[in-house]
Amino acid sequence: MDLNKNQIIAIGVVAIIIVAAAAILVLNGDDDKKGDAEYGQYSFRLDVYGNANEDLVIDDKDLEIIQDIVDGKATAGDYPLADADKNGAVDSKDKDLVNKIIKGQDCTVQVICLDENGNDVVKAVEFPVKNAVPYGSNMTGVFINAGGVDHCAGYMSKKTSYPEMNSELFNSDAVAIEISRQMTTAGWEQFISLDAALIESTGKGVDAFFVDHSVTALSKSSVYRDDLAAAGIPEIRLAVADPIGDVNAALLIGFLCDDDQGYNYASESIRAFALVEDALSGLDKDDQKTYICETMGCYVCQNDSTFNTMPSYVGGMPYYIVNDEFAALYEGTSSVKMEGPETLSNFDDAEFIWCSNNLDIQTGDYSNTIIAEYEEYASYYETLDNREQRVLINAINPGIIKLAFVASIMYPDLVDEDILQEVFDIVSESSITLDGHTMSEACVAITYEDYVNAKGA
Amino acid sequence: MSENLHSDSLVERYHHLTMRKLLVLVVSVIGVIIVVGLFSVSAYDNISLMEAYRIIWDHIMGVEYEPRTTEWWADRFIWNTVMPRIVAAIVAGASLAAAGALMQALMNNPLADPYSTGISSGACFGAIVALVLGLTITSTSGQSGMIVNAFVGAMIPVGVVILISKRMPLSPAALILVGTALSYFFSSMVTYLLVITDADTLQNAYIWQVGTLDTIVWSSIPMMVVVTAVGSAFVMLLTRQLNVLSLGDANAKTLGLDVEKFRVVCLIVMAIMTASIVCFTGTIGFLGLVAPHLVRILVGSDNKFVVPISMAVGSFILVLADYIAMTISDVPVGVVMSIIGSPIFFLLILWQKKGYGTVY
Repeated sequence: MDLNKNQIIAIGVVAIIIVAAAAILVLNGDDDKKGDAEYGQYSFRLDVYGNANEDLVIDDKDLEIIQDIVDGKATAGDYPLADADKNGAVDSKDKDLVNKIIKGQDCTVQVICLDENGNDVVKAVEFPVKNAVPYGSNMTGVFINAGGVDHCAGYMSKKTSYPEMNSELFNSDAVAIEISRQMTTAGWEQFISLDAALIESTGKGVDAFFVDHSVTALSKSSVYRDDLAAAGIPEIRLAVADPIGDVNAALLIGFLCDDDQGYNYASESIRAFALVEDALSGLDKDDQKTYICETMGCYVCQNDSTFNTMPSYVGGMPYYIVNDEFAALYEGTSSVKMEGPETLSNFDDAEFIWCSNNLDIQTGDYSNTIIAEYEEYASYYETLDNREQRVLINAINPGIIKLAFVASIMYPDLVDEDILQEVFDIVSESSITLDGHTMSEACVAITYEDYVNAKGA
Repeated sequence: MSENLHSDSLVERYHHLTMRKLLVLVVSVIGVIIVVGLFSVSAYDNISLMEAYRIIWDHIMGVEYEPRTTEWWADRFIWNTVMPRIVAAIVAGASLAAAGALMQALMNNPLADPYSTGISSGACFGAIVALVLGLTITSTSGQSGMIVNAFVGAMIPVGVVILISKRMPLSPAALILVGTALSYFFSSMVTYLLVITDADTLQNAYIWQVGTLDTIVWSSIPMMVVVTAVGSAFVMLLTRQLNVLSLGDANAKTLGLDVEKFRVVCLIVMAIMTASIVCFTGTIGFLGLVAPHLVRILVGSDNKFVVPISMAVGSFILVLADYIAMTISDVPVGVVMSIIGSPIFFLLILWQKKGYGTVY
């Protein structure tokens, strides 16, 4: 086909118009980012193969689904967790395995957790777990709330840090492995000595090593992780800093320990979360508050950090969604230390700054604690326009309680004090770490207003 | 008759000196072996000293244990956690001592050590730029980026010293002064970076500055071993020329040695040897100064013996210092070296005054 000059020009013009239109659509798309963004996605489920219907437990319903697949009434593709032994086929062996799980008999289960890069990985774990070891402050609280204490051989945590919150574990027979902020050679030596002693005395060593994914010490050190792999001790890495991850981790730990406490805690947390979700159902997208998250006082959470997710579950808008410069600067899953207020000076139009810190149960007048905690890193924010919107969140509290507080602070008209109290009551009743403590004692959040009031007091 | 007596006395002295050399070498080697055992037992206290040696020997012989028993864990722990540190101490001690002996002979100066040309402050600057500012020469960040930075940083002052000495012939004393000036420059930059950084980074930077073997892993070892082996073999080959140089530049020249060229080549070798160590360990002080002096007092000043025996003594001192550092709640080995290094040096001077030998 021969084209004349005019036809070629016409095609060229049409092509230019199409490209220009596409460019306008793409470029203008940025303006509507807030409305189209997907964030705060979550699901509560027990991350174990055999949980065919992907709910909170492995029970007869899962067995029925597996039977249906075996009988050809359902397809395995619709139930990816139906393959309980994860051998690539759903058959009678999966049924037998799920039966064993339901009866609490010894078997090997396939657990979905995270690898050191935060990607899903499947680990084989001896069920039920008898000699678990939790590692990390955030993991310790979840482990206790999941009912792990009776199945704990030892724990790696600073015993002096949260004696009230973690008293159940600290007062148990589990071996205390004292470590500093990072994993130490001495701490690791105690851990492997514990395993060797268990093997030699009972024939069964440490059978699960639960790690808080936000703890960087173990992800950096291949020596410790190599030891775990060589010994065949499953390193179960869970994102417990994430409030939804907190609930799913409790479900998993409770399941592995064959203890109902994990399920009770998780199901009550989910029930409480539904109250918050109901309250927030009237939230308009245009009213969503933007936020930046921080850890350890002065570390800006990167976009995909597990510490950066919390407010997004309750209507918060991660700042990276609305600010391309910030998004590019903080790409990643970790956190970046602030140089000073100048680090966030271009981003101080974020409506909230959420800072995770850890505090034990507070009793009596703890104004001085509030002042000290709020002032500790205040110099990093002192010149920012949004410095009074900085809120400290006590990270070792149960995830759903933290979420309720975040929602209440961002949207006080929607999530009022009554809802907050109800959420606290539901979760704390099923929580071991908060057993017998009031909402005030849990010291879940410290706002600027709290700080000013404490100063005044 | 008197001639025979004199000759007998000389032979006796020769034998005596030879025995001393052998004795120092053997004591150093045995000392290292003893500390290896003590180190292993201290790090993993569920085994006895003899079990520690057996486990190490079995590992070398390829014996495997039942998984997760005490012996199995001890084997893994010793070989993955303790041995890299000990091997690093042996290699770093040998390298820094050899470099110290070389530097003292090159500069004809008893106060010269591997850091006299500003290597330590250059390395420190490189490492601290990586730590504080996060700027690395390669695309890699973290520990490996810091190692490359430290290595390149260490080479800069030596490069400047060599360039200056190429343009204008400098006396050994002037070379050290140039090195000192560069040291001050880099130290001021380091101080500035430390002032502006936060407490956590400051702690890490300071630990690196004083020198530590805590962070050593097996992957750090090959470069240290290869450079030390090649470098020390090179130094050993040059011991005759180093002896000639100890007679002074003028005499060395009359004996046919191209002093300037020789000094530059030796400086480059010394710099690479030292940089390959400090980039992994930080600036461990005193070793390059003390070990050669101690050896000279004990076995005399012949560099043919001073260099290898200094390497053995240097290894022993550093392994021992690291053992002490580990047993007193994991302080950096550089701190222990400074604590034990300065009194040792002081004692050496006193011994020299009392006529026990010569410091230089």
